[in-house]
Amino acid sequence: MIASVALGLLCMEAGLRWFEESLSLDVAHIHQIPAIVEPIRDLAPETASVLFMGNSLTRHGIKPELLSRNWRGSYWIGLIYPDATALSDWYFVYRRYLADQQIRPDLLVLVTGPKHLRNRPYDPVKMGAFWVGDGDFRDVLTQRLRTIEERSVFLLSRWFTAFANRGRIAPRVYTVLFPSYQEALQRLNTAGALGGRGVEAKADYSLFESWLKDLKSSGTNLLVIAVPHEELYALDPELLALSEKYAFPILDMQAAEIYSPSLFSDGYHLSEEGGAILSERLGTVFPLPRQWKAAGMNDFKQALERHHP
Amino acid sequence: MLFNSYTFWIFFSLVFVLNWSLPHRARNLFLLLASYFFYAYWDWRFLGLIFYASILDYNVGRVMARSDRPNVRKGMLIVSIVSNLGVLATFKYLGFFVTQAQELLTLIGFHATLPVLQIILPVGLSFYTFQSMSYVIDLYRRETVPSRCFQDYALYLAFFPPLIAGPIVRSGTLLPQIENRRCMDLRTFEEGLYLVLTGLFCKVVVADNMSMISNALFNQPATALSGPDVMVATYSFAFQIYGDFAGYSAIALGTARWLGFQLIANFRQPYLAQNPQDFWKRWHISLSTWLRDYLYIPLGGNRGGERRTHLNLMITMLLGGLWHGANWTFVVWGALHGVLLIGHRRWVSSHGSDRMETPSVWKRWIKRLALFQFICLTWIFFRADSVTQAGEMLARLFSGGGPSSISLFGIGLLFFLILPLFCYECWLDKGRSPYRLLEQAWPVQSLVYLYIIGMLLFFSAPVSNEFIYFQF
Repeated sequence: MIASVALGLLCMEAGLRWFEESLSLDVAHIHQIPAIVEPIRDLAPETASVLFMGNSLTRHGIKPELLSRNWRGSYWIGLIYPDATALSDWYFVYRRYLADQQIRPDLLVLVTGPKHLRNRPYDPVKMGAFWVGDGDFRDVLTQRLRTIEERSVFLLSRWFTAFANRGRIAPRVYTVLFPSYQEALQRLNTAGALGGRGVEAKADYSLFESWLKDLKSSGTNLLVIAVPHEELYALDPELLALSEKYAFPILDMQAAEIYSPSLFSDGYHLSEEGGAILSERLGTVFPLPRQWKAAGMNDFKQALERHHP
Repeated sequence: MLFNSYTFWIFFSLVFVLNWSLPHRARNLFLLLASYFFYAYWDWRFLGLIFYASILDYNVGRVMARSDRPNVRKGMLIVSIVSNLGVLATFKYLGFFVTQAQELLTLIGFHATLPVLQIILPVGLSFYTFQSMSYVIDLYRRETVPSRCFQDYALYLAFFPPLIAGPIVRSGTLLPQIENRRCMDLRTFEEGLYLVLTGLFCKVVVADNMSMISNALFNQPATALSGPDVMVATYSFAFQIYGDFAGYSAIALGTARWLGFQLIANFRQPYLAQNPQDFWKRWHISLSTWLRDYLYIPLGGNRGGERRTHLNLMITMLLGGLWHGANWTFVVWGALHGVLLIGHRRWVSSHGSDRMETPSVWKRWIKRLALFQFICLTWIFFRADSVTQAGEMLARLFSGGGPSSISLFGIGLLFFLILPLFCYECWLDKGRSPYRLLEQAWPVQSLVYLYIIGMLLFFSAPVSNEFIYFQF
C-alpha cells in the first residue's frame, strides 16, 4: 500500500513537472527568464541593452514597442515581470539569472509601485522553486530565512514541483467550479482572511541598498520608474535619499491629469490604453540609449538629467 | 508547535527515532523530557505550573494510598481539587469574574473600578488540570492504583500528544502503558498513519478552509448579513470546529500510537448522532465522560428523581460550557445543550426509547438532520463574541436577502470539501471499527490516502489558523 501511494505521488510530481507551465502564464514566463536575458551576452558592443524588471505592473504598463518608438540606433529591450513580486524577489532573480550568469545589461530598470522596493518578508515557496540559485542557497537558508517553517517550505519547494505549485491548483479548480469565486476572493482579501506577505510597517530599504552596492560595483546603471496608481502616492524619503547617495534616477510617472480612473482596469493595473499612455510618455523622457551609451558615461543619472533637465 | 507545522514533524521525527532506540526506562525519561520541551516551546514560563501539578497530585496520591483513614483521604482529595481548580480559576476565570463583579456593582449603583490582571492562559491548562484531578478522584474512589514512580506520573500528565488540547486521558488508560513495555508493529504503524493523515486532512483541508468563510462572515456586523449568510456562517463554523478539534485529537492519537501508546478516541462521527444523548457520546468524548463521572454522577446523576436529574444535567452542561471559556456565550451554549438533553429525556420517558424499535432509514436521517440543525444553532453562541452578537445573528437568520459571494463560495466549499468527508463518515459509522479503512484491500486504502495527500497538498487553506481548542 505504501509503495502504491509513493508511486502515485511520484506520478503526481512527474505530471506537474511536465505540465507546470500550463498551470499558469506566470510560471511559463518565469521559466523563460534565462532565454529572455541570454541575448544580452551576445549583443554587439554598440547595442544598448535595457532590461525592465518588475511585476504585473510592468506587464500592464510597459509596452516596449511604444516606449522605443523614437529611439534610434541599436538597442535591445527585455522584460521580466513575475506576478506578485517585489524587491525581495527581484533581488534574487537578478542574482540568479544575471549576476551569477555573468550577464550585465547596460541599464536595469526597476518598475515599482509605492512600496515594492521596501524590505518585505521573503516568499520561501518562490525563493525555493524559482529565485534562489546555488550561489545564494546557503545564505538564504541560514541567514535570510529565519524560522524552521520558512526553511522547510524553501527546501520542499526547491525539491518538489508539486509542493512549489500547490497554491496554483485550487484557484483554477475553484474558478471552474464556483462562479462566485473571483468576487469572493476579492472580498476575502479585503476582509484579511487570506493572509499575505504584507509590507513592513517601517520603510526599511536595507536589501535595496545592498543591491545598489552590487550594481555599483558591477557598473550596471539603474533607473527606477514609479508607475501611476489610481491614487497618488508619495515616494519614501528613504528611497529618495538612496537615489542621491547612489546616484540613480527615479522617474515618478504619476500625473493625475493624465491617469484618470478609467485608465485602470481593476483599480490597480493600467489598462491597455493606460499602459500605452505611460509607455509613450516614458519614451519622451527616457534618454535615447544611443546618447548616453555613446558618451560612455557610467553615471546614468547625469545622462538622464542632461537629456531631460 | 502546531501539529500541522514542519517544526513539529521535525521534532516528532527525532522523538520517534530516539524513543525506539532507547531501552524501556530510558524511553520514559526521554519522553518526559521531550514533553517538557514541547510544552516549553509554547511558553517556558508555565513549565512550573505543570510541574507543580505533577508534584502535588503525585504526593497527594501517595498519601492517600498509604492511609485508610477517611478524613485523611478526603482531606487530600480536597487539597488536590482546591489547588487544581484554584489554579484553573485564577488563570482562566479571574479576569471574567472581576469584570462581571464590576458590572454588577455598577448595576446596583456602586461605581467601582476593580483591578483586572491581564493573565495569559497557559496552553493546555484546562486539559491537564482535569486529567490530574481524574487521577486523584479515581484514587479516592479506589478505582485505580497509585503511581509508584514520579517520573511515570509526570509523564502521564505531560505526555505531549494530548497535552495541549486533549483527549483527557484517564490514569487507568495511560499509566499502565507508561509502566509497561511498549512495542511497534506494522498494524500499530498503520493505525498511527491513518490517524495522522485523517487528522491533518480534518485540520488543514476542512477546518482551515471553513474558518476562512466563517471568520469572514462572523467578523462582519450582523446587520450586514442576510439570512443565507448566517446559515452559511453557522454551517462553516460547525465543520470548522469539528475538523479542527477532531483533527487535533486524531493527530494526537496517531502520534501517541507511533510512540506505542493507545489513547481513547475523542470523536465518533458526532454529526451523525440521532439524539442529544448520542451526540455527547460522539463529541469530545473524553470531556463528556469526565463530566459524567466526576460531576454528573457525584451530583446524583439520575438517581434522585426526574427533577433532580434535570437539575444535575443542567448544572453539568452549564459548567461544561463554562469550562470552554470565560464568556457568557459558552454558558448559554452549555445551557442550550442542557435544555436539549432534558427535552430528549422527557420525550423518551413519554414516548418510549428509540431502542425499542429499529427506526427506518428516513426516520434516522430526519432525526440526524433535525439534531444537526439544533447543534448548529448552538454553535452561533459558541462562536459569537458576545450573547448580543449571537442574538443579532439569530435574528438575521430569518431575514431575507440573498447570499453574498462569500456565502456562495462557502456553499461550494461545503459540497467540495465536506461532502466526501460526510460520505466517508457515514460509511465508517456503519462499521464497528474506527479503523474500517485498514480492513479494506490495499488499492482502496491507496486511493483514499492519495486523495487525502492530494487534498492536503493542493487544497489546504491559504492561511492556517491555530487550533480553536488551544484557547480553552
